[in-house]
Amino acid sequence: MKKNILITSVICLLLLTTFLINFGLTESIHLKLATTTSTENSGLLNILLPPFQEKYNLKVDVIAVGTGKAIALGKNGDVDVLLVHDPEAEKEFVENGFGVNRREVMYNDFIILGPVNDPAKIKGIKDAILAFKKIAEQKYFFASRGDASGTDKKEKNIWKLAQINPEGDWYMEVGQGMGTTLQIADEKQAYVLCDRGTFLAYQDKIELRVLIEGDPLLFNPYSIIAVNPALYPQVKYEEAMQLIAWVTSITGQKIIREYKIEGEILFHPVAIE
Amino acid sequence: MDFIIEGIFRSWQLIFSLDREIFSIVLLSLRVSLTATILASFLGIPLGFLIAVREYWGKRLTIAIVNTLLALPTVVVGLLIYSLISRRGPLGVLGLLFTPWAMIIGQFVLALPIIIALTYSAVQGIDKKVRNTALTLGATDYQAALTVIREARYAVLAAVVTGFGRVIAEVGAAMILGGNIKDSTRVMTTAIALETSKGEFGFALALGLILLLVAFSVNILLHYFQGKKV
Amino acid sequence: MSEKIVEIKSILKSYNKKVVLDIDYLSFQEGKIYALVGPNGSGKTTLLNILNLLIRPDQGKIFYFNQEVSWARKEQRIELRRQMTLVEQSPYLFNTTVWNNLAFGLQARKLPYSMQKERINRILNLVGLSNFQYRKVNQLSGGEMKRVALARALVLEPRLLLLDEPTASLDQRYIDILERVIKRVNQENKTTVLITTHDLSRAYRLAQEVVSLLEGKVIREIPENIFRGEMIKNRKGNCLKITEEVSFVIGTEKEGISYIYIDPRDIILSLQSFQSSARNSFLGKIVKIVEQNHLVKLEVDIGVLMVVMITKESFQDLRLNLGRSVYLTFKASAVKLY
Repeated sequence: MKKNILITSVICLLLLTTFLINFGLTESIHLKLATTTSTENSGLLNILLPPFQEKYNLKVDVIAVGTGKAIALGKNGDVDVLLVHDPEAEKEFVENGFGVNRREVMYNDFIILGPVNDPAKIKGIKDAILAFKKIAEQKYFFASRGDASGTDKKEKNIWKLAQINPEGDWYMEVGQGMGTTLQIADEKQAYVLCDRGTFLAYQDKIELRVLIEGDPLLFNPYSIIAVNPALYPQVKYEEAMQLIAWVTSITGQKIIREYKIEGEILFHPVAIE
Repeated sequence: MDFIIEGIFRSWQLIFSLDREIFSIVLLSLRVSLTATILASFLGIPLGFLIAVREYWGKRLTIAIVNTLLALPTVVVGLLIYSLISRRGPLGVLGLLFTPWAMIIGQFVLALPIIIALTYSAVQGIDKKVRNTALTLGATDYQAALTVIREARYAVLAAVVTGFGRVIAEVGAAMILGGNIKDSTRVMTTAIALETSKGEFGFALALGLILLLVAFSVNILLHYFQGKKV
Repeated sequence: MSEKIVEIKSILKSYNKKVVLDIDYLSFQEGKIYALVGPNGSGKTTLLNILNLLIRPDQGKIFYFNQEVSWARKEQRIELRRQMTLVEQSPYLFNTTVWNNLAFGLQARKLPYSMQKERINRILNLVGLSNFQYRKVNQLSGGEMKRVALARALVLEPRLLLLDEPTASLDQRYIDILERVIKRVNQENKTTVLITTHDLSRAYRLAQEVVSLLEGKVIREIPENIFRGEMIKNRKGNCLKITEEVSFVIGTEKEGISYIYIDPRDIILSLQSFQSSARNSFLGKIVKIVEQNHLVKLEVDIGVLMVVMITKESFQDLRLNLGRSVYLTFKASAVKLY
């Protein structure tokens, strides 16, 4: 019977400590920033956020999901601030009263990648729409994210402008993140629309080449939006505004401009003209 | 093949360099999954036990439901809990989303049916025999019930270990509910998913190997207790 | 005259609408050894479980020391149960050490440790397992396990000891130890022992009184034609080998040593051999004739002695006498497992 008491007390102690340990996990103020996987993967936030966290003595929790989901999280009041790249959805988000104080922060660009031998012969074309048309006409493999992310929406937009409804075996909707989509495109020797940051991270691992870049249509603008405190009183609006002020400040914009991967500039600040 | 070799190499490097970030990720994984497993055990073992020993209307249905829940996809659990603890959900005011507690709740829900089902089958096999033996020796009903659990202890322990194995390896619920926040809710599986999406396959694989190593250590530890206990 | 330890009145118990126990009256006196005999399914185990208050009868009353306990409350049942114990036919040993198994009931009774220790050592010595205290039960042989189960019961020093088939599937050496131990605790502690068995000769050797059960009922007489034999398969089908010469074709399939009985009224006696669907037919000599009211009981030697009942009229028609050769014929289904 003595042994039973011992076992019981050990179990109680175990339970108590697990509770204490876990409650101890959330002490300082946490600001929740929903952003896209591509932003997080670029590594920019690891440089941009620490000075801010230090200055205001708070912690930014970065939740990296697709743009569609990031906006959904904002609509549900589950995050405090968004850093996303889908202008149309962003405007709708603000117009419907979910967000306030939308500011444009920076842009990078999308590029169209394809196999080295470029069977659709699109290399050097300056017009993304024309390139898409050529690919679709000859039904070369094209890998699409298909996950309602910012990149996916951009791609769908280009198809729309090209007046093509992509369908058939050649058009593969993979429903995955950019990285996985790049791998699938690489394995299938398919064309693919990709953000520059992810491509830079992947360029050593894939054989796809940049075929089209520089079309203004391919610009990828990022905005930061605070979740509306009138709708969700719990959101940390003040801290969200501090973050918005920081990334659009002279210092913040300078950090963005100077961020490079393997010598290449990734993002172009636009908050201060 | 290259990834595997790189992964093995990197995992050794990471373990022996005692990288702070890796260390805190592993620790958080253990913390979350162990807490979830322990809490699920506290509810699941008595429930499995009761289902096994009590005769009641709808018993077969309960068992069928529990067995069905074994096949619950982790992402679905993540979404269900999300809808509960989101700001818009009924428990939104608690502010649990994107905290370790959210992951604990998700993993608790995942571990619970496993622990109930395995405890049930462990107890059901021996219940009558053990209970009668204890009663003939003069035990009270309560003592007899405890004896049944004690006799089923190895099988119940196996149930707990299986539950732990499922939750430490799951990624769906942890991703949705925790948000994979660096230094806050990033656990081994979500880190693996992240590194994979970044194309860092070697690093992802290294984390995978560390996860296996951690699970292996927990199993060895429990095995040791099994051997030690009378 | 010693006191009645337990009495049961009008007990009825059925499972799935089948009556397994139907006893008008039965009592056991303190300090005696009783043997409960009967074939499989005759309700012996059910009776033991009812006596140990593990299962409740559907109807009827149970008295312990002249007090009715049929509807006793939980606490009282536990209190009563602590004065007796039951060893099941295939006892369950807790998956731990021999010591912990023996200490279980003593701990439930909150006996001081020093007394536990003294009793456990004494009883282990009695059953010949002196150095087995710290052995794990999963390292024991079958015979050792049965002795541990017995020791676990004896260590409680019960007033009533219920043993369900303690000799089943055991070798002679252990049976001797068991009988010696049972007699000893009966004499030294005045323990009432109730033991179920298949083996009539053992029952008579050990017990002061034998109670016979058949299909849930207490019967005055023990059935005739009980035989012990080994189940074998030969060209006739499933057989029970009684001796080298005699074996009965039997309807059921079972293995190992079994007891069977054949109702004397199920046997047809004839002067000539005849062809029939009955699978058993033997030639033998009449060795004994006893008249019982309008029936005649004959003993026929067919290699083993068999009892046959016929009416007086048949006896006279056939002009039977001692030494006369006759054929005994009976169906395989008349051979019943005991």
